Amino acid sequence: MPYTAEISRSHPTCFLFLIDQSGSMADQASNLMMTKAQFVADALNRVVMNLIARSSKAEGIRNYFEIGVIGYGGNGVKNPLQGAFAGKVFNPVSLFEQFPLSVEARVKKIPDGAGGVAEERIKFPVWFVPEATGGTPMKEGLKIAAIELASWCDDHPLSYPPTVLHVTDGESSDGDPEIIAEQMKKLSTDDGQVLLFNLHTSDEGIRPIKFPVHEDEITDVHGKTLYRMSSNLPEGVSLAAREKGYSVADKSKGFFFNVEPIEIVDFFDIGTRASSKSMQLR
Amino acid sequence: MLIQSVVSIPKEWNFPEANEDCWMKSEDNNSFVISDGASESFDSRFWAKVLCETFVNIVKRNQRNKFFREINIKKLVVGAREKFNLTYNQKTLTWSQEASFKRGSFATILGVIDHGSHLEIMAIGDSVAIWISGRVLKTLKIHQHYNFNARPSLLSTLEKEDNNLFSNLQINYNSEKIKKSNFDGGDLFLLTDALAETIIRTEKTEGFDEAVKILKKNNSDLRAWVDYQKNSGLLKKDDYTLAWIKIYG
Repeated sequence: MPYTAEISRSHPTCFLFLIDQSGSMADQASNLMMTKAQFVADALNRVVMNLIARSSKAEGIRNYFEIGVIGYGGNGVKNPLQGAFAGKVFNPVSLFEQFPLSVEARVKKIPDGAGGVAEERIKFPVWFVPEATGGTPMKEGLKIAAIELASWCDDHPLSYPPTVLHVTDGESSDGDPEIIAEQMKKLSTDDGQVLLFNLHTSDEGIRPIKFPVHEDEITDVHGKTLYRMSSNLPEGVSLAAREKGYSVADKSKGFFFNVEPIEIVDFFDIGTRASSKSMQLR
Repeated sequence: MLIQSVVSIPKEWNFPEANEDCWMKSEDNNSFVISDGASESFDSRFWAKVLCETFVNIVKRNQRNKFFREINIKKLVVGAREKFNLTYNQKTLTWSQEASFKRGSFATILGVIDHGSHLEIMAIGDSVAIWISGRVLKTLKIHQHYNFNARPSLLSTLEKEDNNLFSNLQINYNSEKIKKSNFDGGDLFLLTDALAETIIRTEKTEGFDEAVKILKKNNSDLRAWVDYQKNSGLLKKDDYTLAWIKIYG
């Protein structure tokens, strides 16, 4: 049965974040007092922090995960991470723990248990900084991602397959990305094919669609393409989505269309919970 | 009450120190407990150990025939949490340890207390007690028709998790007093979830005798069986603990 491989230090899985860094990402994200690019950066840094926290034990970090980021925009397609991560796309979670660019002191608002809100000081590590310029070379981004994933799958045949979390706010400016996406999804480990989940963010007030089952639910041509590019949710991810209150059917796709930027947080969280069942999270 | 055998097998055979299951017995053999630490939590191995120690200590202080009540569960959680938090000073933790620490540690508890003519068995979470009655395997009520795929209620190092646990205690907690004569053969088995689920399924699909055969395997046979089942995809990947207790008197 696919998507059931044990995730362990001997057989880690990987998450690849494919991020649209085109100029339109510099637009303000509605109600968030920041640009979409800034919000994506925050959400990405937060999910990396969560993956590290999930792997952190008293004796140190267990390398259950490898993490990679590929950005595409006016500066081409590249690994936007710097320093220790610049040499290769996929790096073990312990390296992220060791080398954040900075650790910021932030204030988190939490319920105070008496109907009010209390503030808690937290340390917020940063690896990924926002960038937004130029066009949207999505096709090339997917191609570079596929090359990296092919190599990762070759090196980890027994692992839970890679999960790609793709965030975009626009249409591909370098051609139809669907063929490359299909090729990417055919890459596999012994435990199943690469999972590609797509999120399209927009604050134009159009009806958002989450985890759709039928292409007909989407009227937009570009949206239909992203729908077809998206993988079906395996059981572990479906479970994570349901636990967050989403309505998910057996054939739901890992696709958010026309959602507000704030939905990226849930998208990343659910996508990286792909491993829950395999880790036997109890 | 005497221990016939305890086998605990780590999920990663090459990292035995990462086994997050724990078991403990009192010196006077009047109590026995197992705890299964949740994989994705900060030092749940230690949390499971502290819960076991605290359980044994509470039982020791209680007089015989005083049963484990809600107040004891509260004592157990609060006492264990204090000890856990004393061990970890947040100020000395790295940012990642702090983040993990704040996510909390979670574990089950399954305890047995010898009250003379009766045994008391108590459970929170999906660690399961199994015993034989006639040609049927028995479990606590909480574990009858149990959904092992659902997220169980667990004891947590986080105080905020107590609300959920105690407000639904009748669902989350089960304690039963059972006459010793009701344990056919004087056998009681305590199992963590992956093994328990398989044993219950085996009884249904292959019959009572097959299930009992697994429960009574010796250490090396059980390890070989677990390896085979795990590699065949018939047993979910987890730490596995099986304690076989003999009941006398």
